Amino acid sequence: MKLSVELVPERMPVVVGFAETAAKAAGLDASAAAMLALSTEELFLALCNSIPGAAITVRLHDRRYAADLLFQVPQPPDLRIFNITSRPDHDTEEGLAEMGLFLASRACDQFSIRQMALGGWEIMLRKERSYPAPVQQSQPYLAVQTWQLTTTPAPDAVKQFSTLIADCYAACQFPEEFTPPGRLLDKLASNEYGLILAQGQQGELAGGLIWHAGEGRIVECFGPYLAAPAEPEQLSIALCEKLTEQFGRSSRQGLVLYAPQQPPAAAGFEAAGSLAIPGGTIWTGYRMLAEEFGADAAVAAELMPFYTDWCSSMALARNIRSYHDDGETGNGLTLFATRLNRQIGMARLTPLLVGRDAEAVLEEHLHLLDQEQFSAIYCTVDTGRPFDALLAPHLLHNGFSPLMLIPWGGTGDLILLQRNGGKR
Amino acid sequence: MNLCNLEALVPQYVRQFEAYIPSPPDDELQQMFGCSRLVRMNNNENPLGPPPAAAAFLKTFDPALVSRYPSGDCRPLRAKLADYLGVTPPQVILGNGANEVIAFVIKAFCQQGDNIVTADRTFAVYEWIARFSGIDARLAPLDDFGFDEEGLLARVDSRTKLVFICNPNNPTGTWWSRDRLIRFMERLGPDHIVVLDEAYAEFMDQPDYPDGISLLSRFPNLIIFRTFSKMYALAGLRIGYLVGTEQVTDIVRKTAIVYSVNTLAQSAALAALGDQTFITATRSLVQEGQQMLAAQCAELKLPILTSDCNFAMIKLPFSDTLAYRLLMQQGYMVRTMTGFRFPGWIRVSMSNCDAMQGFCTALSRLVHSRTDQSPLARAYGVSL
Ligand SMILES: Cc1ncc(COP(=O)(O)O)c(C=O)c1O
Repeated sequence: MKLSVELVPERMPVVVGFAETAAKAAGLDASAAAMLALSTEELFLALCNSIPGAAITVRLHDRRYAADLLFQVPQPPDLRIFNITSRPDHDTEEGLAEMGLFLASRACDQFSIRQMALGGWEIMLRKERSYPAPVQQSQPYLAVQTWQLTTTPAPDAVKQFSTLIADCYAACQFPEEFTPPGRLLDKLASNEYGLILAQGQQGELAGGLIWHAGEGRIVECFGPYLAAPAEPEQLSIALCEKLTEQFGRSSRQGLVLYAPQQPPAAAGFEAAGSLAIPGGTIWTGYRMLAEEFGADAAVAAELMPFYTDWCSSMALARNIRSYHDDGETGNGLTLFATRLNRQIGMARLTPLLVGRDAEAVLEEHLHLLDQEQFSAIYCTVDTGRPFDALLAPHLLHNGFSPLMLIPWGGTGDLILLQRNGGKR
Repeated sequence: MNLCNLEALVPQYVRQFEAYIPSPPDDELQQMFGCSRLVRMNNNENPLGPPPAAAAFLKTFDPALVSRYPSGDCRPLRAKLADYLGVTPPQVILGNGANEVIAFVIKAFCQQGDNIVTADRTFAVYEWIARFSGIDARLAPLDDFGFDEEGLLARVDSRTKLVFICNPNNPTGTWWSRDRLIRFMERLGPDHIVVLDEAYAEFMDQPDYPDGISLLSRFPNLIIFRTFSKMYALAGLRIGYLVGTEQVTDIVRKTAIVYSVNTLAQSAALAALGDQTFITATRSLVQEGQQMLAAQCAELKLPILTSDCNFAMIKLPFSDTLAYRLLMQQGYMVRTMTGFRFPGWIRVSMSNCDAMQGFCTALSRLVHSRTDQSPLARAYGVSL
């Protein structure tokens, strides 16, 4: 579904109507569709102010587990309006000029903007579908001695697996939601996710590993989730190897594993740090898929000890430059993409642009996220994007510390920082 | 100029395809990895350098000759090859490496909707060229490290134009015997072309290893690939060839790029061809290297796949791409096998005695440093 429309306020009802209808057609319930419509209203008005009269297209991408509303605009709008903290002010003329996406982003689960390769910008609002609460199954799970792996499990097996996750693993052991079964099935149906399942001869569930190949060069993996976690080292290894095999001859550079427990070294993952999330920690591992030829990296002095330590322990060949703030304007202004997981209170900020207002924009974001009770807040900086280094001192000053290194996770390596508490 | 419609100009199957990034030059890698020398054991090259006659030719080559085009269809070389292989000159087509010859064949026989069939864990270029040409590549899993007849046949249908069999297989070194090949050809029937990639044929010293060319009269749907890159050590000049029946090569010639093999390559290949002393010397170098490596792997309790080929595959108890980085720091470049769908394995090319010894030491240090419990041992890369 696609709508072409001019950016004039009179067209707003058409766009909002389109968003709501399309969202419902994609399976969002009435309240989620209304939220998306609300976000659309905010976004559309903001765009009308920023680039009045421009022709845009609005499109809905049905991901099954979520609906993305994509706005393609031909020229760069005033990007400040896209920071989730920009407050909408409908009352005054000036307020309109600063119209923001405060509400838009609060009503959505993910918000991002990207410059398209061939010109123009695409703004994305994502709303996830809601699912009924998972039903617990109380029968015990047993270790399975001999198993077979399948990459195309039957829907019924997928459901069993989702139930196993809900039964055997605390919510804190998966930074993404794979329960209830309906959600996992929908995620698999979107083709962005996959599942490698291990089953015994009678089809009894032994364990599984979920992957998510989003945009970019990294595949995120979750698991292995096992029916009898205490025993089967071999099963963990087999699942991880199968996954690696699956992406071995692909354009992906690496796998990042979020694991409930550390798999054995033979599974091929190197320790990459551990994440604290509400209620626990997740072991994270990294598996490079490609052969490393080395790279240049620009890193803020504040992150240098962390980065050099990890480069050395991961044997990464890096030409590291310490990047200093010499008063440059960087990208001019600061803009974050945000990804929220309200269920467990996680928020992830990705700097898209970093400018001299970095400190203020960051603090506004943190303030808002605090207000909204997000307790696990992450931010990444990219060693392949020198201006990201300008953000580092402000992150540390605001209680962030570096936790994890994802080689080739962005343009260069991604340093993932987590906020530990208040301002230092 | 505004290239606004660039994406619209690009076929979907090209858009989806990710370009292969070859490794940077040695000096760049050495600087990045902080090693004072780099031994490349990743491309199955011959460390002896070209056979003496080819080396002598290259040394005395008159630079004035490069202002002229080479023979557009490698006529003198084809004549010698035909004589050497017992075929007619029109049965031979040369290319800028066997890689280019793969492209000639796929272009000659496949159109959209067609498919090729090969193994999932073999030389990648068949699959790549098919994919970026919009041709489906159907992959049969290996069976016990070897090409699986049943798996291949099960994937063949009426739109299958080509079946690629890498014999011996890169990277496993496994090979089909003459009988097995004949049985496969008979079961497959005459409706599909079978490409036998014999890039490593000159290394094979086994009585029942089949010479594909000798089977052409019985199976005219065979095409055989060979290269001067491996045994003849002319990888840098880029020259390889195919042999088929005249009926088949008359078709492939239509899509073959003329003048793509340069003057130096043609003459060096002409000089190199058939030097048995050199072949024997290379084979014994390979054999020594394989023995040395096998002994080292036995000591380290690492599974190894050896063969007559100038490479071996080793299974590590940790990530192969990590091993690659750590070995690079020690100045040894191996091929990681994750890209061949063998996670945790590396492929090592045989080299001269010094390099093999150095590699064995580096491998031993690496394995101890990653598997010993002591953090000190890990930190210093030694076994305590
Ligand atoms: C099995 C196989 N076929 C073909 C080739 C390509 O050889 P060339 O250097 O002639 O392009 C190689 C090179 O690695 C190979 O291993």
